Formats: sequence, structure tokens, C-alpha cells
Amino acid sequence: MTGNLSAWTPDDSPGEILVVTSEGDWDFLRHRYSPGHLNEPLESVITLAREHNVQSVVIEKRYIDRDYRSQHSHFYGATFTQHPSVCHRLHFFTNNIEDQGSNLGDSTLAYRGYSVMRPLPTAPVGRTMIPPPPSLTATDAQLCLARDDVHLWGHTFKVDAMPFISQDTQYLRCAHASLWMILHHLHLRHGLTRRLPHEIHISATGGSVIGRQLPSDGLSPGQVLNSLAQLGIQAPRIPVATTREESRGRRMHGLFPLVARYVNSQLPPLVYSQSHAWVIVGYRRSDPAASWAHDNVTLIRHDDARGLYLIVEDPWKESIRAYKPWKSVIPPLPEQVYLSAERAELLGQERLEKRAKALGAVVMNERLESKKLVYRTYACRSHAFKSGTHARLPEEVASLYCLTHMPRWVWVVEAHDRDLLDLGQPSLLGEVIIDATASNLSTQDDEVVIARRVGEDVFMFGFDHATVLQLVSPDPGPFRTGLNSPSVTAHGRGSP
Amino acid sequence: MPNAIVKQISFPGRRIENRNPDEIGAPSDAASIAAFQEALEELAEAERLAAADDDLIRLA
Repeated sequence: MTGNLSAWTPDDSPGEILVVTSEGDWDFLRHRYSPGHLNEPLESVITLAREHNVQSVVIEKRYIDRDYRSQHSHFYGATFTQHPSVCHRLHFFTNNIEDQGSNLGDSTLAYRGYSVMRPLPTAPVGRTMIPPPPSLTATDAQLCLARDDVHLWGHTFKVDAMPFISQDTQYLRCAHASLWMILHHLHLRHGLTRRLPHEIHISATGGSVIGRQLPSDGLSPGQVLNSLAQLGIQAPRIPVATTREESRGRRMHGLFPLVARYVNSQLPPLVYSQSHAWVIVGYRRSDPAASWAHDNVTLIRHDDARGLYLIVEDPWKESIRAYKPWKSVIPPLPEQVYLSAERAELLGQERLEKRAKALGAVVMNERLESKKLVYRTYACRSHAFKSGTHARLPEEVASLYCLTHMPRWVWVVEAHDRDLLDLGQPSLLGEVIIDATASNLSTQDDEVVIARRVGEDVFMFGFDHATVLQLVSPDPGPFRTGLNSPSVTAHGRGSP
Repeated sequence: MPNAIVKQISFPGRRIENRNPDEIGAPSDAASIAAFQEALEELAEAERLAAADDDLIRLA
């Protein structure tokens, strides 16, 4: 059907409702959108929908997808074979959608996202937003998620997911697709400008060109970095240790803590091997009963060629050749985040420990000495950080934080009691808020700290007039992290 | 200047007039400066750009 222009949209029908109760029902989708092929991304979409116990698929026909239109107007529209310029969009529901979609208005809680089907039989899966599977959300996984508002026939649905798109092997290759996923997430989650495939394709044509650009033979890592820089993302490239032991020895730059800082910040990092690129979208403890030690972490990836929310069993023992070996991590730092997560953590750690010693903060010093102090670092928009403080801090402290001048982005370095963290209890003993626009070469005495709290002792540092304020607040004991406070996790598009 | 009611907003907390090193955390002593520099160099080492031949990699 996909190879036949008129068959793609044979009439003006608005759409179809597919009741899926058996494997054969899912085969209908396979045969329609990828006839004669086993398309792994499509299989992953179906697997994920089944994990969500989807009962109905609403097929929105003649869907105008901006991302595919971008590809069509710059590539597929120029081929001799006619390619439809419209897509189908599959909407997944866990309830039974009745004839004519008469109960769509009552189905908001049953909505499980969408997947755009492109009229490309070998690469049908376009922009996709499906929430992570229940097997992941039931755990304490930390995931990159953004909210998308979805409109269907006069009804609005919401979906929280990490964007996915598959490559089409001609205009978008794995690196383009990975860039699209990251950039679309940054758009939905942080309000950065939406980037369409053509912009990504053009932005990646500079740098070290290693083959044809159209149809694309693929990108070099230099082209990936160039593309991000052209699109306002200033990304470093950090080599991955060649063995688990070496990674452990790198401490702050060990693979797991490195990746976790950027996932915490909702800045999903790109990883590349000798021949392929993918995106790390989350992590979780490998053994939920064990500690949050760095070696007890399992990573989760989106791979444009294989699918969504895929578990990485062991980065150093990959079974698929394309993943071997992990070469480098590229964290997508937005403009105005000049300080890297690693340097922010080093600075924050220094300031917290020094103050804890000066204060004689018994609990924090004891945890430090017994190696039970663990650091978590994340970047966030300062307005989100501020509005999250009221729910987790004494009002006076929240008020001080909220009135403090902050740049758009801040780094937050948190010191946790590891035992309490493992028990899922409030575990935060101290936190420091750092200016994300500070120099990446800042040293420990530079003015980079905006505010700092160790137990009952809170400081605010004014940058313009060197005002220093101290607040002694009743110590409530370990308090809650700001990492997943509702305002910091609030999703939504905004202007850049 | 037109008359208007202007209410100043003030921060909660006590203003620190003398920048006591223990309170503001600076300046550091020579030993901690050296330790921090060492940690920074360790970071810089790990951040060094990947081997130049990475740019011959074709990600497809």
C-alpha cells in the first residue's frame, strides 16, 4: 500500500479504528506500513504498545507531519517515484474506542501516545511519542521525558515520552535521527526552538565530511558536533573508558555518573561507536534492592534503527556489532550553560564539604568520612528550581531562593545520605546552586556559587554588590531532592 | 517626581558585613588549592578530545 500513491489516501475518510486483540490484528499494521520487511523500529512500537496493553489504535489519515514534510520538500519530492506528502498517525488507547470515536472525549486517561507512519515502506516510523513501558516506570528509573499536547478530531490528549524517530537511510541517517530526538526533546522540555530534519541535515554538512551528503552516507562525529553548534547547542565530546575497570577509575568521568548527570538535567546525551549513534534516555538501578552505587546502574537507550527504551545490558559487552565499542559521549549543553556538569559538581562538592567542616555539621561530616555521601548534579531552568522550593524547604529558605537573582540555567549539586537515598527517604543534607554561565575554567574561590545550604545554614551570594546573606533556619533533618520536584519535571513548550 | 507608594522588597536573613572565610568559603588554603587543581587536571585529562581518527568514523 505504501508504494502506491493513491492507495495511501484512497478517499477523504478521516480515519479508522483498529481493534487489537490478537497478534493478527497487529499484523494488519505490519503489512500495511512495512509490507515484506521486518522493520525493527515498527516492531518496537508494536511491542511497546502491547506492553501498555493497548486495545485500540485510531489511525488518523492524511496527517500532515512537519518533520516528514521537511524531508519530502527537500528530498522525496525530487524523486521520479511519487511519494505522498501526507502521513498516517497511529494513536494508541488502552480502552475500546467505539464506532465513530464517540467515546474519545472520555478516553484521555487511556491515551498512550502516537506514532507517525511515513509512506516509506522500508522506514515507516516517523515522529513517535509513546510513554516508557510500565516495566520501567514501576521502578525508580530516571528518564528523559517531555510532554506533548496531541489534538485528534476536536479532542486533546497529553503524552509524556522521550521523542523517537527512525532513520530513512537516505536523508536521515542514525546520527541525524539521534540529533532530531535530542533536539525535539529540548524543544518540548526546555522550550528551545523546534528543529526540522532539513535544518539538521544542512547544519551537519560542515565539519569533517566522510562521504556523500545526499543521499547521506552518514556523518562523522565532527559533523555531529558542528550540527549541534550550528543549532545553538554547545556540546563537548567525552571519550568513554574502554573497560568497566577503567571507567570506575575515572570516577567523575566514569560512564555511569557522567551520563546520569545529563539525564538528570533532561539533556539526553548522544553516544557513538565505530559505526553507529544512539541516545541515552534514562537509567535505573540494575538491582533495585542494591545501592545507588555507580556500578549498579543500567542505561536505557533510543536507537533509531532498533527502537525505543531499549535496555543496555552491558556497555562493554554489547552483543550487536553496531554498538561496539562505545567511543564517546556527546552531552547536548544548551547555550548559556557554559560550565560542564563535571566541573559544576567538582565546585559544588568543594564548597559543600568545606562549609560542612567549618560548621562542624555532624551528620554530613560523618557521612563523608564513612563514604556514605553521594552527589547528584543536575541543570535546570532557575524559575523551575525556584518554584519547586516551596514544597520541599522551610518557607523562609524558599523565599530567599526565590528572591535571589539567578541566570536562566543553574547547576544544582546535591549531597545525599546514601543509606537514606537507597531507602527512598528524604536524604538531602546539603545543596549548592551554581551559575551555569560561569567559566568552565572556574576554580574553587571564584564567584560561581549563588546559594548554598548545609543543614540549617543557608547562604546567598549577590554577584553585583558582593552582598552576602546568611539565614539560620530550623534544621528539618534530611530534606527532599529538588531533582524530581513537580516544577522541575513540569513539561511544556515555551518560546526560546 | 510623581508621588507613588513604593514598597521595597528585602531578603530574609542576616547580611554578612565582613567576609569571613569560614562563612563564605574563600579564600582557600594552599593545600586545598593544590588538591582542587589536581582534580581539575584530572577532569581536563578525561575531557581531552577523542583521538583524531574518530573523525574518520562514519555514523550511519
